[in-house]
This record gives sequence, structure tokens and C-alpha cells, in this order.
Amino acid sequence: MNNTVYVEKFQAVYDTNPFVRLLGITIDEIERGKVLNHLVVRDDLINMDGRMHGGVLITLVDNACGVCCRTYGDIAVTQSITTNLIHNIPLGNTAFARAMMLHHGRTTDIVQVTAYTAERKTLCETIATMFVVGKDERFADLWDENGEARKIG
Amino acid sequence: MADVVAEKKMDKEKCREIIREIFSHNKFVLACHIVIDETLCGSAKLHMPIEGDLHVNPRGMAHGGALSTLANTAVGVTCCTVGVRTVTLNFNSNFIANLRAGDTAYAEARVLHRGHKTVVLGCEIYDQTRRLLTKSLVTMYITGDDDKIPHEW
Repeated sequence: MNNTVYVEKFQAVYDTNPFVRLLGITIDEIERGKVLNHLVVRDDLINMDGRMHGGVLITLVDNACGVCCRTYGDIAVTQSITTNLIHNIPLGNTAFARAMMLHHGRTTDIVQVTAYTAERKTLCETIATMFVVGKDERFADLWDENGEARKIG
Repeated sequence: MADVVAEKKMDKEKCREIIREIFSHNKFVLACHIVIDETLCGSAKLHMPIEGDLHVNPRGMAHGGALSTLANTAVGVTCCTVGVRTVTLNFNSNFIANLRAGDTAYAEARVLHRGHKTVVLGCEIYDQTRRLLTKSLVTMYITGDDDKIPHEW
């Protein structure tokens, strides 16, 4: 179940990330191994055709992968990422990215992400291999044995 | 006949100016401070200085999305060098090493296969010491011809 307090904790951490802040990426939902984030296609995020730059979409899904790893307390960097870009959106529209942990290992995490429009049209499908470089103790013990958020103050 | 005349008049300097003008309307490329250094028929070189308040994560290392943006832009520019406008179909990147604020990322892209509807490209990103940072394999979908740059020159 999504926990709005956890969303705020994660958002506060990622607000300190300059490139994430540049794109205006906002975290919407946090569960163990599941993340939803989004961005609005602003004027400085488009290409010369007036549509979202491919790098913006890839950054959105890459960020979702990193946040997904952190729901387990993993600090992970991207080792490889494969994206199939299917549709695009123009200025003013919103791109959502929903990430799901496929494999949570000791050294690598594998995350799958689907990005879509507000009308649920698929923007891209992604699989990423993330390399775990450390532990973030702030997020190491968020869930009980059922995967539910622990009560926090 | 027009193509033959265009081939004789096209050189790498003229090509670079035409493509720079095209990408001067690409707002996200401008926002990321990406510069087109060299264009030949079928290849291109770009660079992006890594800035501490723009391209990095809180540890001061370049965000994967920033490097993906550089690679994605490099392959788009390279497609222009063979006279076609494209959108990204598939983007695959391996991240090998990283660089930090104050360093510069250099992208080198080239056409591996030019088909009727798709172009396959390879792209490497290096730092200023020629250390390999990322390796990408990208498929671009041809949306149309460019009216100023011929397919071969």
C-alpha cells in the first residue's frame, strides 16, 4: 500500500539531486519494490519538433529505477538500461513512469519500468540492471514482513 | 542531379553549421549545454561539460540520464549527417565508469546500418582523459529526409 509519508521522505532526498530537480520529476507513490513518478513536459524539455526529448524520458525511467532500488534501502547506479520508445508527447503533457523490481539481489537489482501518458498510452518499456553500491540506512527498514509500511512518527 | 550538386557543395564545416542551426531549436539540448564539435557523413562528435548545479547527483557524479541525453542527442545529430530526421525507437546503454562536476563528457557516434526506415548507430562517451564511460546501441526511426543535407557526401 502506498504510504504518503514515505513519498515525502523519498521526495525530500531526490529534491537534492540537481538533474532530477532540473527535470521537475515528482514521486507519486512508494511501495516496497514499486514506484510511480512523473514529470510535466516543460518548454525547456522539448526537442526541435516540440515533443519530449528522448533523454528526458530515459531520465524519468532511470530515476524510477533508482528510487525503486532505494525502497529496499539499496543505493544503486545504473549498469545497463534498455528502452523501447513507442509514443511521444508534446509540450504541456505529463509523462508517468511506473517501476517494478523484478529481481532484488545482493549486488544487482533488475527493474522494469513502463512509462505512459495521462491517457494511459504507452510511452516506453524499459528494463534496467542496477548495480548496488551501498546501503541507505534511512530507508533500510521501511516494511514489515508483509511488505506493509511500518508505522513511523 | 540535385543530390550530386549538393554532394559537391557539402563539407564537414557546412554540415556542422546546418546541424547546429537545426539543434539550436532543441531546447533540452540547449538546457544541457551540449555542443556539436564535428560532423562527417555518418558520424559526429559532441561534448557536454559536467556542471555541479545541473548534470549531477548529490554525490557530484554525472546522472545516468544526463549521459543518456548526450548519447541520444549524438545519434540524432549523426542521423542528420546522412540526411535524415529521426526519432528514437530503441536505446540501449551500458554504463562503465562515471565522471564528476568539472569534467567533460565527449560523445562519438556513428552509423552502423542505414536502412530504408531505420538507422542503427553506436555511440561511446569518454571523459577528457579518454576513459570509456558508456557504450550505447541505438535504433532510430526515419521520419523524413532533411532538405539541406544529402544522404551521402
